[in-house]
Amino acid sequence: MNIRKFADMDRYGSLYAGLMFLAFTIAFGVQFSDIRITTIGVIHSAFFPGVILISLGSLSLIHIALSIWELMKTPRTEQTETKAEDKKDYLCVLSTLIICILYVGTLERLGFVIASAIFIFAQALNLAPKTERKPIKFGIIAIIASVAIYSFFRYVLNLMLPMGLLTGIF
Amino acid sequence: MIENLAIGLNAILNPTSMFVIVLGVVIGIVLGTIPGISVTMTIALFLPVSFTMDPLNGIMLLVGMYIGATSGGLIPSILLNMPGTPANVGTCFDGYPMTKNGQAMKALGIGLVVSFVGTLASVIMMILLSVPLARFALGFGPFEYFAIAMFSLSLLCSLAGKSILIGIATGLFGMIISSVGMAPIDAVTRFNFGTWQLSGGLDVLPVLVGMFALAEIMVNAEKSRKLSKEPAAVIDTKSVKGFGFTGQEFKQQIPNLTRSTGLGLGLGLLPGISATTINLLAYSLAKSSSKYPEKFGTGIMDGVVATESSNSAAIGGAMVPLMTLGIPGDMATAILLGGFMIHGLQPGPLLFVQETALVYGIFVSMAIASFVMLIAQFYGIRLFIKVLKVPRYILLPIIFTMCVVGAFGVNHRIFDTFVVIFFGIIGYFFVKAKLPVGPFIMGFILGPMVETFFRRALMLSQGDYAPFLTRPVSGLFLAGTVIYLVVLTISRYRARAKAKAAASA
Repeated sequence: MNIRKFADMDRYGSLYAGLMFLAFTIAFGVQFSDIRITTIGVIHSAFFPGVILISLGSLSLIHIALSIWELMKTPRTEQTETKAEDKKDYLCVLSTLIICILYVGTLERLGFVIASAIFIFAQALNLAPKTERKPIKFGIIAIIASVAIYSFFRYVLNLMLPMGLLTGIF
Repeated sequence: MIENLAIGLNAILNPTSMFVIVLGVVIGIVLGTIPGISVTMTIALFLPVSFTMDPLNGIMLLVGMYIGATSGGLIPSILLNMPGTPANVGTCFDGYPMTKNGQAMKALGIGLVVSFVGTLASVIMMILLSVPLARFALGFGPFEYFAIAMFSLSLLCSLAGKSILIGIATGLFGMIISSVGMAPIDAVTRFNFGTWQLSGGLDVLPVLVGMFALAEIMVNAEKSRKLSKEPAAVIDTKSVKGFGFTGQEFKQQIPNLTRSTGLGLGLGLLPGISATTINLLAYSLAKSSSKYPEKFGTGIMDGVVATESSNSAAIGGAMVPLMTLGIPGDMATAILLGGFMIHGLQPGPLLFVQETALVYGIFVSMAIASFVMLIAQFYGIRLFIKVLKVPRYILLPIIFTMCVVGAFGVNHRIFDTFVVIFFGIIGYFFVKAKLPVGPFIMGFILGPMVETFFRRALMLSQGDYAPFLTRPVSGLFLAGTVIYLVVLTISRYRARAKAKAAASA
């Protein structure tokens, strides 16, 4: 089975959207029974979410059925070879997301300044084309930007940001 | 009234007050351009600063920031497809396509001018009609607010793109996400998935930052490595004169501008309906009443005119109940109410009698602030456009860092930064599956409102549903909801039949 063909979002996007809505309906539906019913008010707190979940679940199923019907009606045609520059780099998307997760995951421990400097440096290296990668330039920009953002929010706007390893230094 | 305005003008006609107005507007614009920093947060961050000033200057600083930030948010919406504030979400829909079509200057210019028109119109209206209009809105109860929210929700169908079904499903998805946390009325915890951090619900800011900013970074990542040169949008600043659009083009926008400004003024008056909702409503209204609705989203001035005039017009509207009744119209005015309170002032009818100079000083300062906003942004536009010349692989990580600060700053907790990541993934999926974001946002914002007012109304009527229809304003809006949905369905059906006939011919 060719898995790559199922990554064709133009063709399967609509079906996946229906499946996503259904998945959320199920996830919320599982939690639904945990809602405590009180006697305050004419209708209780589970009423509205219940109406929404039933509506969303029904629409998801209708949408999935319509999408499958549409897919069966229009057979898949062999795609012409896409140009190299038109191909999407999903590996880069994944690495971008991983860097973002690592950033917010280490924000408290490393502190805003260090975590942000590493994040900006790593993300710029990750996103830049090979010929444009300049680690020293990126490093300097990352340090200046993170210190400037921290100083602005901390000292101008009095917003407390996590200091992490630099606690007591700044 | 003229005498009172003269007293107000006299109170602020000094170098310190003028400097405070300019400072407030400029800081508002700068913070408004940072995606993730909302108008509310901008004002909230400067509350302690205003406390160090005398009451009039302190409130003027905050009001100037309110005006500056609401308008400043149009810049990243148009240049980067990232709304500077939630009140500029709709500006992305046509503003960014205009940038991609090489019309960034035109989009910024028209956005700026209509923002100015909207703000000034709202200030004039606020001065003229504040007391009678606020008195009228005071008569509204939960029945009326529920009906208005339902009418607003029905408008999301026009934001749904090709499929009404997917639009409604996306709106419902937004509504179920908004039900996470404490229920209104009885504060019962719902859908916390075993995490105490979810017990307080999801804030609008991290959700929006994720859906727009992170999703945009991920979309960019698809091709960023492959390009030897970043595909910077073509921005012609040299051949552009004035604001970048012609008098004829502006003339064509007058009906749209009038309608959207009117919508912002009218709905801005009603407590609970913020500029975030209003800009989306204005966009859908402009689309549904346009002769060429299919062009919306492809980069036309109409979309920018609708959203930017309405969100700016909502400023004056939201200020009316705040000033005359002490009721905040939205989150931003709720923070402003806090600004009044830290100076020992209680907004309300008595304030007009006891602090005439202060009240009318604020009114006059808002009119001056709208001119400052126009001038500051007109001369700043060319500077802001330089943002696009910075390579995106450097700009986007820096912007994301600021977005994380914004998300963190809402509740001072790391959890909200993870919310950004979660909704970034959802937002990216929306882009890939071609799902409309508008209905999701509308559902997310209006969901709690619908539920709260519905439950309150039923408590008030002791379970009787009749007042929803028998109360004139409520009945009018509910009838409007039904009529709108019927008309929309018929027009969609006719359009589809027409397209089918054309295809078969």
